[in-house]
Amino acid sequence: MAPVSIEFIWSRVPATNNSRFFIYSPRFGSTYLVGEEYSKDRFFQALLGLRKAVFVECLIDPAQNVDHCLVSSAEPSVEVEGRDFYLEALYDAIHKSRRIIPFTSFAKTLAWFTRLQKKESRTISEIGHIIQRTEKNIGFSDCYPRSLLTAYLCLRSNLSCELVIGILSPSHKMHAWCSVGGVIPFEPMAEHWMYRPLLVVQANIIDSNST
Amino acid sequence: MFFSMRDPAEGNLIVINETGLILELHPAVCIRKLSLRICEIYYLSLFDVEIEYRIRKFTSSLRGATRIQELIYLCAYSLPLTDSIILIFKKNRAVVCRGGSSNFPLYWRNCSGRLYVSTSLPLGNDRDFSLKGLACSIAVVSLQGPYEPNFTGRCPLSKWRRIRRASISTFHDSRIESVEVIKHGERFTDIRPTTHEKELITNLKLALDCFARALESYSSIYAEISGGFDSTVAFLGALKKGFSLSGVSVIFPYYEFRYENKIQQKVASKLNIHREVLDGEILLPYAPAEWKPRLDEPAITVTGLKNAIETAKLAKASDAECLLVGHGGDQVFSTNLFQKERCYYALDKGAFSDAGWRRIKSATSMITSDQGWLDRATGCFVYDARLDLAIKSRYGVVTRTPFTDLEFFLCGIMWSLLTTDKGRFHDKKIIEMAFGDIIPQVIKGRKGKAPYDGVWSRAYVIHKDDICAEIDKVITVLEHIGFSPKWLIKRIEALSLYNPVSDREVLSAYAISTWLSSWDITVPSDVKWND
Repeated sequence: MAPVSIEFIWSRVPATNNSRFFIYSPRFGSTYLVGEEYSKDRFFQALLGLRKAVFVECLIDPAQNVDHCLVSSAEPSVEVEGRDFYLEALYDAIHKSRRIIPFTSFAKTLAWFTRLQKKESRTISEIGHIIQRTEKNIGFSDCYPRSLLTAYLCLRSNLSCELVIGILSPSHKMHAWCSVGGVIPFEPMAEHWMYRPLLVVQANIIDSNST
Repeated sequence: MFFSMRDPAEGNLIVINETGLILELHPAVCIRKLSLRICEIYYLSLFDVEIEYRIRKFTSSLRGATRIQELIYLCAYSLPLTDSIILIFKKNRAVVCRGGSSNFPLYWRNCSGRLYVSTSLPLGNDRDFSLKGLACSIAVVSLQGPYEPNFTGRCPLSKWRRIRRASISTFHDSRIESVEVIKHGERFTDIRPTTHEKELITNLKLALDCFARALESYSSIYAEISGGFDSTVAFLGALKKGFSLSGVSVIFPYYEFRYENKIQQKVASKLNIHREVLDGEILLPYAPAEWKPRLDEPAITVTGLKNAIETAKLAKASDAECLLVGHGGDQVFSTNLFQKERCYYALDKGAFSDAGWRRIKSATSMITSDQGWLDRATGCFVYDARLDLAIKSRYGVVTRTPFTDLEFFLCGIMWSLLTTDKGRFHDKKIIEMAFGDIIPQVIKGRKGKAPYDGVWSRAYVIHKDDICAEIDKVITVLEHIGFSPKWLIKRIEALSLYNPVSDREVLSAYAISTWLSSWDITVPSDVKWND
């Protein structure tokens, strides 16, 4: 499998009146509400693991559409029967380890892991239906493992993708999603658009044949 | 034969039936009397313009009923969700049926051996308060949504009881004999969903026709334009009858609302609705309003009072009699009506004194004991409506949504059955399938409803002082009821600093505070406390 490069782009989202900002820490996997001074402090940024990340004043959501969701006007064209115990176990493991392993660390680990595995060639739509089937079989749905599992399946199919952590400021509601070329393979209800991106993890397949 | 008079002080209509029933009606509630062979029926509704049409439909469904029990069930299950009826039988027997989404309250008490039913609590004269009744008003915030504490008949006055929504309450000799839940889903449980989507679509179109016919009698209608499916369905009903609509949208300059203005503009343009715009930032929850209604019971819906008033003022200015909204569409078509509502929030013990917490626990156990009042198929969780009577009374405008019409609600029940049977997600796809040819394309392609979480968070920042001021006015009374004022102030402070903590206790305290001060109750000695 081709190597994957991981890059972070981050932003700060104002709470209300630009005196306090939400910042996501890739190192700790948590979101912090801090004053403007702290949000600009380089030492504080380094502490949160943002030193090597690229700062953008206003992050644009890379996702424009959702390929497949449960609230949809079109009937699903692919059956979601069958089971993949491996993927279900992985989904569950991601969900249970979220308080121990930060989001970005898990993303990097999965990216590295895909290099050791056989390449697949799935389309975005197929990936979306696999995720839907996994959630249906496992009995619950959560954006956190969904986004990471989606990235895993995309990378295994040699598809570069973006993982996003967003916030519905100034509430503390968070959301995570993964998109490929602007399309999210699956979300039960298309809700990514409500959340302002705090962090975008770009997982790019490095094409060894390109000059 | 009956005697009626209008109370000069309150303007209430008092009807005294020959059997001794005393019925006191708020001026905004209209009444019609129907005489059947076996009983008399008093039909009550807030929709005076539509009432003749409603009664025609209602009475046509009663044909063939010969026995008393059969008639009662027919009445209960044919009653529009917003209306109520009182059936008077011989031998001092009375039955009151109240719709699940009833938009005016009904209370009763035994008055010297006579059944006294009223659409309002006499809080001006009767100051015999019930701590347990108020505990129920607090405990109800454990449920999602701003609804009546329908799990009990207890109300703030100790001598009175509320006639519950979605109930058949039977009285004999002015004492309550039984209370039965009206659950619309029950008539469908024996039916397998051989009703395919095509039949359901036909029924939805018929439901819209019925809604349109009901609107015929209005001279002018105003619309609340949210740009969503639900309000648009309401407008389609009005446009079917050739109404030329004006309406209002509320817009917020926030990230999650960035698509709303354009969608609303396109909807208004496509449907030829003249649209005015209100700035949502001055209508945030808890924004102080120029007028405070005297509600019969505390209601957390008062947090949206300013929004309701501004919309009503615009409707009145355009001489509208009716304000069209899409309230209840999500509840009817996007939830499984065969499931129960649940206690979504656990209240914090620290918000209450020991005695207060004991009363709250007792009230909460009534919710969880579940005797059918939490069933969504009752229609009790479609629409709160507790400001409707006050708004109509002051501004002459009645709020109207199609989703409290029985025809739409029964379609919702069938949709729940169909989607559950097929293992599908509960969404509003059926609305799009039924009305897709007349709903503007911009709505079908819209991203989804913008959530109000951010709006509420901002409200606590901006209106922290207003909330504290309301609580401060009646702080000793809140303490007597069982709140810990210190805890409340700390919680309001935390919410204003964006802390992700629950606001349910603050909501209930605010509702009670505004209710108390509207009735000029500022210290415990203003009332007599009874339990």
